[in-house]
Amino acid sequence: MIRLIWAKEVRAELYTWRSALWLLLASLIFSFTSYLLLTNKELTLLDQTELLWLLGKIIVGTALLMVTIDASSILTSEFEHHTAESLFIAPIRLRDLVIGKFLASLTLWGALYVVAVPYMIVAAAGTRLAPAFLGYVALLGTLGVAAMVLLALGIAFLFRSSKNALTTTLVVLLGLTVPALFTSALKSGFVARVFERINPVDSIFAALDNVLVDYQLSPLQNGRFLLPLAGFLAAAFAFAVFAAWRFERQGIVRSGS
Amino acid sequence: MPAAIQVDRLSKSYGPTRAVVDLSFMVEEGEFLGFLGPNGAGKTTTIRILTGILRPDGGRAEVGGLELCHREAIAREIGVVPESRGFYDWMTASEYLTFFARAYRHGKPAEPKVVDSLLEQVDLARSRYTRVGAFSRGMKQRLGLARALVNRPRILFLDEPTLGLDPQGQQDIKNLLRHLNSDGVTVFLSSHLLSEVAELCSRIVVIDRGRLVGEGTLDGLRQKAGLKTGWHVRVAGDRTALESAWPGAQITVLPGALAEAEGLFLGDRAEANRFLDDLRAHRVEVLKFTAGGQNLEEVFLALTRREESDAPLDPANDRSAAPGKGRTRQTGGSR
Repeated sequence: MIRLIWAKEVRAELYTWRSALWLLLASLIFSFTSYLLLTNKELTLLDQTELLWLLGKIIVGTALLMVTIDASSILTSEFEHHTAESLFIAPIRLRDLVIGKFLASLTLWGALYVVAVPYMIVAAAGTRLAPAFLGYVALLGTLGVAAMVLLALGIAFLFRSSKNALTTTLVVLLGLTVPALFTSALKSGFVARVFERINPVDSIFAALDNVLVDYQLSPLQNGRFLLPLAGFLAAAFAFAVFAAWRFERQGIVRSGS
Repeated sequence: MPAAIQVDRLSKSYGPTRAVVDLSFMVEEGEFLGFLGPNGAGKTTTIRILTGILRPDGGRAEVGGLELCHREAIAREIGVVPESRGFYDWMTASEYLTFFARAYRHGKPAEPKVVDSLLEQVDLARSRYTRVGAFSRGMKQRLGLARALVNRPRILFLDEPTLGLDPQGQQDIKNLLRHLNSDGVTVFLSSHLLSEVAELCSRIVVIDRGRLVGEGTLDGLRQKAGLKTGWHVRVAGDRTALESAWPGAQITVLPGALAEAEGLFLGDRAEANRFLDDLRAHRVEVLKFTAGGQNLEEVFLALTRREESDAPLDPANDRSAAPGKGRTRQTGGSR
């Protein structure tokens, strides 16, 4: 049943050209970034590892934003297009539905990653970092995207409206991303340091820095970054499970005649 | 006869609004039940509870012998044409039904056969490769019915199944429903088309403000509402005899000494027999005397009006419930 839902969602994305648009937009962003990195006078002065770090951040950041937006409506569209009732009348478990939709969102991340691979290979040419770069972007991106998708699904269960789910999820994503872009001077306070430790987006950027700039390639050497990310994923999973449980208790359709 | 649907003191509220209040009724296996009520009476809520879409606040119900908590098991037994009919517009009709056939695990080899036969049944075979988004409302309606039949259900819940269909489409759906019912499928039909309910259903449940206000056959409901059965009457005979046997009848004088009258007699079976005896005693020839005029609309309005005022209907105020041997309503002579 999970496969059935996953296939439906993937096909829906293709038929509605939503995925194609995301991928086109992503490739434009990656192309523009690469062009700037190669031609901008100041950026060309950067060390190649720094350049890789910047590209890695842009790839993961773009994926987080696009997949989060997509995941915010993947569930709520069933309510807004009045298809939820016919779906739940069939013997489809809520668990299968959620997992199917979760995997469909991860598939979009997979496609974005495939689009990013040539850019990463070209950017890493001449260094021995290409496998680590590809591997860590895949690992960190998957953990971050999976957590954001679960969060988006949980929020969608609570609100049952694309607009509300999208706004709330984007606020959460911005709340996590903007502090990660602050300079170290802005992160000197106690609260800022604690937030930096637990912020998953900070962890992704710091792990990429640790791998690409400091050559700490082993996962064990990146444990302090992977752990908060795994913790965020676990929390997002727990939240999605709670929201789904609450949704089922409230009833699949909230209002009636 | 075992119960296909058993509802026992079912309740559901939306905040302060009580949508369903202590609702109890039973539907026998193979029955064609009409489920009526004014807008906001709680029909859709009841159907949503029985199909596992909504959880009741109180009471219990069984569908196909299964408690409501077994949503997936119930889903395998029932077919539903819900009130809110959303479709995946980007799918073709064939893809749409295949998706649901897979959800019911028909098995890949059987899927095309199931889908083709359903498309034939609802007369959409020629549009199998057309995107659902390009379908008219009536076509979508038929596709929704095909989806409800994809698992060959034992019990079929229909919420306004002919809404938006042209008369031919309505007739086709009604014929299909009759056919399914004759094959033993229990049909639970909620509709605002009272003529449709009167035509198809063997028994009717009427609810208002979430409460049961009437349950039974049309005749039974007429009695409960204090209404009398209508009899279509056409008689011919001597004009004077006709006038004394059927006072107030609108009489058409025919060539010669004969006259004819046609109209509606309202009364129960005993009153109808007495009226017939009177006619015969006056040597009036009875050309037609058939039960009819069982206007469900009258019954529906009477039952729901009674609930509105929260007081029993006063038969004296009801134009069709006059005392005595019954009232007649003339429809004029035949010529």
